[in-house]
Amino acid sequence: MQISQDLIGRLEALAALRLDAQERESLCADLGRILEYVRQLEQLHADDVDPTVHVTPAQQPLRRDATRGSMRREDVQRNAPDARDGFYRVPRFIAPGEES
Amino acid sequence: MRYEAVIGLEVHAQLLTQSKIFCACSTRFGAAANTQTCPVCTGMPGVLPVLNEMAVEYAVRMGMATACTIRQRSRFARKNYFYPDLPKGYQISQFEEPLCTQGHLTIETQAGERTVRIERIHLEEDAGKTLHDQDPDSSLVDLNRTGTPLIEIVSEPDLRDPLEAHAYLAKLKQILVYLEICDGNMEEGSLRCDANVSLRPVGESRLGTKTEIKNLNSFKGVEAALRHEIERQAALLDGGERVVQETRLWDAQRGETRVMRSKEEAHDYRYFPEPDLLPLVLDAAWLERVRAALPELPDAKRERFQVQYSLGRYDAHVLTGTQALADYYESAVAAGGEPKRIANWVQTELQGLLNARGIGIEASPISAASLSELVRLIEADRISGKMAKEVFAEMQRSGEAPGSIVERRGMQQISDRTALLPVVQQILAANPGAVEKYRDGKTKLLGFFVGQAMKATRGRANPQELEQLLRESLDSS
Repeated sequence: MQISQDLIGRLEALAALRLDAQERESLCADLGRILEYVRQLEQLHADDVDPTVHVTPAQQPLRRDATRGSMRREDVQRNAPDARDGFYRVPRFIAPGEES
Repeated sequence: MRYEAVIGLEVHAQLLTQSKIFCACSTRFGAAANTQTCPVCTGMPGVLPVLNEMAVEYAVRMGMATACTIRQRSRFARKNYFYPDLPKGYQISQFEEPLCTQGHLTIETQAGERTVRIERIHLEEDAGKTLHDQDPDSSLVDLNRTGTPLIEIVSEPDLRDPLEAHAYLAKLKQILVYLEICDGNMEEGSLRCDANVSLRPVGESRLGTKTEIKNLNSFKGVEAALRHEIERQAALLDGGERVVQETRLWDAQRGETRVMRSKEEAHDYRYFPEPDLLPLVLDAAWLERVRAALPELPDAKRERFQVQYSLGRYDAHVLTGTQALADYYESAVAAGGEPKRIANWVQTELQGLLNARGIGIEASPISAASLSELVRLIEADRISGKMAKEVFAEMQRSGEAPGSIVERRGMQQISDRTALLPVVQQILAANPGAVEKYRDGKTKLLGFFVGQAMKATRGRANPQELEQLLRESLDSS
């Protein structure tokens, strides 16, 4: 499969990245090589092998349903670029009247 | 052209766990913004999620209650998208191999019972909450809700009209509340619903193009939004236009759906297996324990009520509406009294009182034992049905026991013929004209005499005895 500029553009949008022409070029080549590698893997006969979901042959440990104290808001929000009245403040991302 | 609607619902239910699905922060509703978060639910680098066993059990309960196949091995996936209320940039959900699949439930429609198939029920985490009305050019985010456990219940497109959709949603809510795994409150967002709707000409088996409607945050909203969307699509098709596959938002104020521009871009969630969580494996013995601990569910309870208490389907349906109401009814019956009579009192007088006060049965000012006592007073002929209503009114005011009210107010019914006879004689003597008319064939006047006698006894005369005595006295001589 050929990696087109269109596909790169779409991946950029989905990953919220902004690439310059040179980065696009090199990413195109890298992704092409990855796909080529996958094509090689596809030649293996793996019909009777269960898909690997996880590399660790263990099961999910479960946690008892009990609360522990949360972090202080001041501490959590130290990473926040902008906060107001205890809320994270972000650019308005929904048109008026579209609140859901 | 006549169209048939094809509707499927995706319902999200918040699970009533103490802590979040992957961390130990509280899920309590209504705390100050961002006071119930930690590095796990705010998506800090390097943290690992640890699954809450109660969330798993609750999801399994719902799967079992809706006859799903419970997968003993299921797995989690990342659903990738950027949104300010999703700090990790992905939601941990289930995609392939969800916990529960292929279930169904039964709804009551005007055309009788219908089975609605459930495609899947899976576990996932909730996102945060955003406020858009505080500031003209910014949105505010509260991450307390982030990581609250949800189950998503996806129906097959088996629903055919807005009423069926309403009935299905109501049934889901009823089961969730019976199972005590969700409070079912749509207005507060603990139960949320999206709908997929398409139309096709009646008789056609292929599906038409569907739209997805969001923001259905009340039972009325679901019905109204579907009705509107069906009309909108029908008008498009009739006009020779095509329905565009898109996400639409229901505006309850304006009573219309419109395109949700912020989500216009086609979604590509790029699901992949969640590397931070191992496959969830449930052992058979654990599943059996969960199954054994399931409460009696609404349908089974209704059927039992019909048989055990000789109730009609409707009565049994109403009385098993909630676990609390059913429990109330059963403890009243256990305390004594004819089940059908108690059913009537619960559904009319008691329900009327609760509705008027806007409270649930849990807060009933009249206990099940008191209601039973009242019914037994009627059955023992100590008070008439009419007097019982007076006693009932007094009970709700003062909380006093019915026996004590009857005693204190001297409300004992007069059933003794020797005590009633003088009253009857006096009434007849005082109304010679009416007596004559009655004897000439105007037997409808019996009601008049009953009324007079009731007045004279301040309503205490036993109506059956009184009527019989009046008849005897009037018909003799």
